[in-house]
Amino acid sequence: MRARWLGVVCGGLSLLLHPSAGRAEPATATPHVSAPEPKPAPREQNTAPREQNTAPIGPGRRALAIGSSVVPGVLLHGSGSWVAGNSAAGWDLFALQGVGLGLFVAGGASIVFSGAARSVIGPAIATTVVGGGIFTTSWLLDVYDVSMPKHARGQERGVRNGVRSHLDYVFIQSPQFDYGPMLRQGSSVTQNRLRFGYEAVSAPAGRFDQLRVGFGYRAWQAAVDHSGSALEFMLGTTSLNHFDEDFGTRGVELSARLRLDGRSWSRSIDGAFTEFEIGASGQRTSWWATAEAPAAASSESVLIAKSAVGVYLGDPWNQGGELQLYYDHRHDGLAEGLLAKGLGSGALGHVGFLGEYFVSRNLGLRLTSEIGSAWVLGAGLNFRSER
Amino acid sequence: MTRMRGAWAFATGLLALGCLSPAAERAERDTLIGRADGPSVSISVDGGHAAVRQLDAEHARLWQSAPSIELQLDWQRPGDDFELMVDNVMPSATLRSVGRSDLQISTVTEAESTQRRFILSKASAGRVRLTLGPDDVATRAFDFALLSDVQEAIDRVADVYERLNQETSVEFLLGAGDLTQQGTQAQLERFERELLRANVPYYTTLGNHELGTTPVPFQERFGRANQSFVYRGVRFTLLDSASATVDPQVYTWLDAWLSAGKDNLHFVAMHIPPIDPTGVRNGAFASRMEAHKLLGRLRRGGVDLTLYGHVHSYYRFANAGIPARISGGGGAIPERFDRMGRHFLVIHTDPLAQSFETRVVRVD
Repeated sequence: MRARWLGVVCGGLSLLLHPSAGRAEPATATPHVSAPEPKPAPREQNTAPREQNTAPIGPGRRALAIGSSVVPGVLLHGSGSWVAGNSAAGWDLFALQGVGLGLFVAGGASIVFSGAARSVIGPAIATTVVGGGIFTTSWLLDVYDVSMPKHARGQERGVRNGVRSHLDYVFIQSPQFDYGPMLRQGSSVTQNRLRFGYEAVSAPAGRFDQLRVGFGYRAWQAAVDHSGSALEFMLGTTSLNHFDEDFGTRGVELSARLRLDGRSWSRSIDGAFTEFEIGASGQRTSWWATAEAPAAASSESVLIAKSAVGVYLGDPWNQGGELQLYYDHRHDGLAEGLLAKGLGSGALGHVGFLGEYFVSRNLGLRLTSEIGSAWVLGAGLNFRSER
Repeated sequence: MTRMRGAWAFATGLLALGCLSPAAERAERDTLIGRADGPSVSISVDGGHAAVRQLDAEHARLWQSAPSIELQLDWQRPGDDFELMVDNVMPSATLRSVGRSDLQISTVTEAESTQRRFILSKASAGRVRLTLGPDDVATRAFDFALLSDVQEAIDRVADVYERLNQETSVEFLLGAGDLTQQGTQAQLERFERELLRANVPYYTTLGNHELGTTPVPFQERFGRANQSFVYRGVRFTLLDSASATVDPQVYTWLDAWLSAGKDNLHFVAMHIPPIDPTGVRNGAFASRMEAHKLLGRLRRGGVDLTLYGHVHSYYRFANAGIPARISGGGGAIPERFDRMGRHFLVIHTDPLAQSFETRVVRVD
């Protein structure tokens, strides 16, 4: 019953943002939870019916469409699709721009006119981040849709049962902390709707470690085979220790993460996705007793608000993966919040990039980068064993 | 060696590109505050406790940014009388020469209680050390006030000073930044003109709203962004957190100030608080880990009270076990639904009893 209700909510959101989604992919609006282990199938069987944008366009028109997606596309989202002859996608993206802008302005206005009042600030920032994310997405998806040939697009990726692990070497340039060499290792186990995972970070020279452990419950997943569209609720704990500075932080966090494939926004936009995460974390930092001072502690909260856009690469089950650009409002973690020289330093979270590419069925490469108060660059390997 | 240089250049490039140290320039400029070389005279203020606004052969103008200052004048050759104009002095302040009996000092009374003009009759070339401050700096109880976040409410700030002047026990006003809307020269000048309505001097650091113009003119007008001084046995430290961080260089200075203030009451003020008590808002440092690092150092350094602005309301809380107050009641867009309005704090301090009390004074 709950899954049915969640399906209605997610489908409703999809319909709200893209009225044609229900027509093109009725299953996304239908409260149906897919089988947890979708079998690989040929790409043609997984693609929603296409009514537009199937006819190839000439190189001249493609170049014009790409140019239009930038100018005036940066202001009028969907311009590239219109020029390419895909007016349905153009309208969808334009509507999406309106929704994003509306949420962004509503959230921003709530912050300004309430004077960042404590009673409204959390939802107001979350609305602003999601609105900004949708606004950015509608532009980037237009650029993607007109510039990426159909045959070069990756397949959407659903979730399979099994184990995934990653191991990174992380380089951090931080003005405040000298971390030295850092390793990051994480694993997750997925069984049907449940997921359990952890990620551990250790910098022995910098006397720093961090551990995140979390459970995920996939409450909704689009019924279309291979679709990555899903809603997951996550409950996790965080722990970090900074031994040189004599403090440690422990926290509990709850969040909801929604991934929607590009086709949820407009039928022709396959091989791309957007992702939003909203939640909060309660944390307690303890400063350990030293010769100079007794122990002390403070409690605080952290807003979790993340917006991402990405593309799938190749066949994600064999050779392939995904690229993701994101804005994460978190002011904790390794990158934390952005610094700037002007008035607004500290208000924003960090931006990041995640790239994963499996060179075989089990082994892949991984590259991550985040820019906040520190620059974080990670490179390593992915391993998976999935059914 | 070449590889080391390459790594250093790479790291420096990253810092510049990523703007990882936005307060570095201001920290660097702090080291130059209080020093100036004129055509035949140079001036040096200990601790950078005054900004040298003007210096030529026959006169100098300073903005005093601590209750008592010590300065040194070096004349290359004998000359005429020298006029020293000082703004932002304590009403009871006097100027004294240290170890030069041949130097005559006369004081010209100015209309404003926080301005002084001194005429130094110079007998010969050489070095002169001077002290400027109130005669009575005995360790005893006193009051000071905290006012921050005036910004666009500059047209109404006269009400605040009028109310402040009614608090006759207040000996000086401490500022935690955001004096202006953008920090332009014109806005800083306007702020200074309005400040003349207050009967007491104002010692302040800057806020993020002083960073709206490049280069930032705050320091050449109001002095160091990071500084520490002692008054009546109580140490006051002002930190520049206007960029939601404290520059790494400042942590070195802070360690020394914390060490010096270990046995005294020690109050630390800055604009952006390390941690916002409403955490999801994060009107705080960009980095939580840096915030915890700073608070840990303040805790280990025995800091007794932390004072902040930035959030346009009043909060009373504790961070890392240190009592903390946010008072952003200077008039900038208020936090709604908090029933606070414009206000400032009065802090009654008793260094002998090692105690303090804070009191909110509402203006509206």
